[in-house]
Amino acid sequence: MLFTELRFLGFFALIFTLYWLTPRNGLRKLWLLIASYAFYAAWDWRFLSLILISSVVDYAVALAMTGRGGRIRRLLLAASLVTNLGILGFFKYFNFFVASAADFSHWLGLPLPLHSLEIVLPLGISFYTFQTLSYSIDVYRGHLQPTQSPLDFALFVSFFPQLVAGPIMRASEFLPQLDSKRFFGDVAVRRYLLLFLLGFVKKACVADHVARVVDAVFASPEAYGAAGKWLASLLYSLQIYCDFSGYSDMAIACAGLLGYRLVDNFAFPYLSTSIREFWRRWHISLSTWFRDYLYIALGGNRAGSLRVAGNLCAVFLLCGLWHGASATFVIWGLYHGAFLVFERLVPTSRLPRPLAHLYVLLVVNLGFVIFRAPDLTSAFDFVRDMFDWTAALPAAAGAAAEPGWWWLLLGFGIVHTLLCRQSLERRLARVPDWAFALGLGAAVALVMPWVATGYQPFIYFRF
Amino acid sequence: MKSAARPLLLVALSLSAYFGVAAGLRQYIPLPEGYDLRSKYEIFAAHRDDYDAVYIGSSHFFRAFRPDVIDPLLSRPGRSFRSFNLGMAGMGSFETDALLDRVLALVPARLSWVVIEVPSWAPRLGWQFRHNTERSVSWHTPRQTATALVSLQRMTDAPLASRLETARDHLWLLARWQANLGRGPRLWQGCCVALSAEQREARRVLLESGGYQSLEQLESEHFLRRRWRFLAKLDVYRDQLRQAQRTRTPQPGPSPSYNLAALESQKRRVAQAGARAVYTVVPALLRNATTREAVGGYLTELIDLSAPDRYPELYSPENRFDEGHLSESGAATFSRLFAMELGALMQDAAAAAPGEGR
Repeated sequence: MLFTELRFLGFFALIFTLYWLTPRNGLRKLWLLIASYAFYAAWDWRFLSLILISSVVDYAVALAMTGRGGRIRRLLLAASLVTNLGILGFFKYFNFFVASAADFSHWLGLPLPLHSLEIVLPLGISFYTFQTLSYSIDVYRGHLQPTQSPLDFALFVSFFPQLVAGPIMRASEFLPQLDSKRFFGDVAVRRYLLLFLLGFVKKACVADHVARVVDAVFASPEAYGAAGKWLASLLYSLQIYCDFSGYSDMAIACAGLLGYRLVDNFAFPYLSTSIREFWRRWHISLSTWFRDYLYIALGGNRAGSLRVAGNLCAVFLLCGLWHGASATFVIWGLYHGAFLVFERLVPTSRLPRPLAHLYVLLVVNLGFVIFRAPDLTSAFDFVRDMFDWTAALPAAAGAAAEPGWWWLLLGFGIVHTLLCRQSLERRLARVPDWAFALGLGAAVALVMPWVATGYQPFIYFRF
Repeated sequence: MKSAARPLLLVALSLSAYFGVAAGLRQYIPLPEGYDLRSKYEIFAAHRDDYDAVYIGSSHFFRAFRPDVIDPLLSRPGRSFRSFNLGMAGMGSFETDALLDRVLALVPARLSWVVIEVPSWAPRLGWQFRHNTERSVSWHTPRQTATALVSLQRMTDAPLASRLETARDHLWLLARWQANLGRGPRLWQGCCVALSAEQREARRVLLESGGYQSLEQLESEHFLRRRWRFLAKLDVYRDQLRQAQRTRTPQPGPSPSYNLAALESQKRRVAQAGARAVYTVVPALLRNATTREAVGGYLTELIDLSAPDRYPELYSPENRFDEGHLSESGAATFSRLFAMELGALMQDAAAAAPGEGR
């Protein structure tokens, strides 16, 4: 069930109505938990068991840590890490490591009879695993008191708006919100309705249309020249941003309409002037997770330059691997890590602002070619061809776009710019309720014709 | 109470704005480009007050009615008769009915005769509608969807699961129609893209021919292959003809599963627009004969030219393009016979109501 599907709107309307009609906080939370499990089961009910295992283990581990000494706490944390990372490792990385080991042994001249398994990747496993891990680590570090309520913890792990693709919440941010009953009067309904619509447009109207052009070029790159490849790579940067930030917007809006606040996941990342800043604006909940639980644990910025460089590369290698079990993601992570190291040596603050923007766009864009390509050879060929202007191949990658679509993109750009400067929200705040209601209805009617039809799952569902 | 009324009022306002804007946008979405659907309708709309009759139906109609033959035969001194062929490939009963609604909504000043292919109201989505195409969305108006669902409900011999699946498909297409979902590119073409020189020329040709186009004129390998296949298997065709003659047993009344209410509604709407519906069966060996059997003797204003024993010339191979369609010469013969039948109806109408009519 995608946020952009008609059936999700029906599902959410039911949850929303019953939630706000339910008088007691405990019952509301129970209703949300049932709804969250139903939401997940709509994809594959079998993998609900993994969420339950994660929830039970981390709830129990955190409670058991209370009042225990350092050694036992360490053992309990290890149990949580082994369980969560074990499940993640098996479902996500088993085949990758088996294939890599087989390749390596073959290279050594000692071929091992290793076989891969037919494993289905459970939806959202990387997201909820990191979320539960953060809880155990926070309790272990003494930053958080473990919750006594199994219902609260189960809801924290499985809350449907952010269950399958984040934002990755911290227990310290979410659990306190469950303590008290939410009041509808406190909900910024206008803001969240607008945010949902914006996310919907990003995903259904922009990302899914862009996907047609991008897919056409990446499917047969040999048919396109440098200009076509540049266009496809730039459009892919737009696609992945609109796809993922669109999902995050809709997730935040759904949670917001139920009275819960999720953390922001994107902050106009393509306006960054350095790769360091880019990672403060892109997938914020993941980058802060890696910063807080890995980078700082490795010594952070306090170690020597060489160690910091090594830490950055290690963190980004794992960040790449988090995205998927493939060499392209590993290289993509290392590529970003390398630029972060580079920026420590040559700060981009010395560059004029337009040049710094251009630098970030170029680095990120080339990085996304590696991210999108099916394998490393295709990625390097694609990047090489982007700089080969001698081949007389057609540049008309944009021909795959539907009529009028470029104008739609322009309109979206203008609205996005207004949102970036926050002038749209300021202006809308002065609009009376009846005019907002009319405007919203009209805006939805204007948006619907531009929805790309056909099933297009969110890119980050794969991770 | 007051606090509950306010959000409900705002939701109602929002919904009205949504439905209003969606309906407004829909006016600018043209009919689909393929099959001459858009061009034929727009030609008719541009000359709506020039025509006395229109022919609406599938490709059997498209390739059978020749206004250049019919019009001179039905013209009288001082009163010319003009007709337009709105037949289109693959157009079934519901799409025909939706097109009829569009035609009647134009309030054509002279339109007196609406010649319609006998509708089967078969609710299964045909080959041209299976893939959730713009064409399938374009006729899924609330009226057509409701009619399809009623027809589906009457198909008691079909398994329930299959009927539910078809109902779901119809409802999804209605939802797409209502929301104009994914129809932005069509909307853009309808209001912002001028016709190309090639399209303008194709429309000029269609206007001159009154909407008729023979299959021979189409330089398409697909149709040529069909023609060759037909000519190569004439023995099979003759067997089919003999079979059709043997099994021609008209029923006294419509079959119980036939959606008679939809047929009545169609006739009523035509009558309300000041015209008369004339149902016609063109000579083809495919589905329309079985449809005629389903309706039985119910239709009084029926021009049935599908009997191989009564109209053998319409079935002779030289007058046919294939089993289902007439050739250019066959269409001329058919059109002459049709003009005689319609002329008789016109005379009856004039005799029944002297001094009336348009």
